[in-house]
Amino acid sequence: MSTKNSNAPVKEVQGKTEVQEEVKTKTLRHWKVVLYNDEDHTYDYVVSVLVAVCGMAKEQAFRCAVEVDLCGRTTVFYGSHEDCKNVAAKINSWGPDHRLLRSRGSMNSAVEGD
Amino acid sequence: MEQLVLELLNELNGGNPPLREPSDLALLSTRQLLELGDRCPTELLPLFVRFLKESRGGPRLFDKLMGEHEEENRILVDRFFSRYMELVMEPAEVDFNPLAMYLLPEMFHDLALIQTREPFFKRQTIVHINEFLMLHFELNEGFAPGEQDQAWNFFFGELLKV
Repeated sequence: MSTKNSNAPVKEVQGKTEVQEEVKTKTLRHWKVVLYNDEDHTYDYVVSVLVAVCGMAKEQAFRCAVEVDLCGRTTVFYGSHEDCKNVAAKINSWGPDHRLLRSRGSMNSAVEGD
Repeated sequence: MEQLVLELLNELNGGNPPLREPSDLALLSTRQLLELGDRCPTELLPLFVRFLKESRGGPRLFDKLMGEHEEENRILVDRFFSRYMELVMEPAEVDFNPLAMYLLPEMFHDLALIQTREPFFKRQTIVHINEFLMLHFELNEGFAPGEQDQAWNFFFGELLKV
């Protein structure tokens, strides 16, 4: 009895520790936001979104725009899972590129584990 | 046109290695690619980039274009991106009203299109919004800063009346 009693809190503590570790790992783990290419958005659009949403310098954003154009995808943000979800949500709801009549929606981005 | 540009790139490259089609650009070393990009006339850079895209070199090719992040390549990399950016991006200094430029009256009948422009409209300054609305509609008093939502409702409401 006393053994059980003395073990129970330890287990609880261990359980909490594991949960806390899991939460910590999920928070601190490197996550990233990947932007995908399409033909309905201009370099100007990509640059303005990345400057506004990801806080990039214009020159850095332009290099990302060229990368997504050449490679089909580019990583635009690293951070916690929560921050990445927020960034991806902003990119995905930025709206169409007003420079192109055919553009009717935002670019697509997704959160991925690094 | 493609053949002409390839001939020019071969000339700039000294024919070594020979570029017979756009995909051959992926075979160039980092230094060769950067030097070719550096010699390429600015007005042909969009074609140069298009060829790079068509070569399907992917991330490896982009790494080369970034000079493999080596300090010795930095000047060529910076110059390439700087020239290309200046050529293809809208000039930053020009003061124009984006709404007047991109929401033209001939688009006003296409409500589905206009509706997709709502986020763009609401991102504009209230000065530009008021200027735009006064240009096209009877708006005696402009909206105050922060009243982008009300301005959008007014704009779309006016279009619905027509």
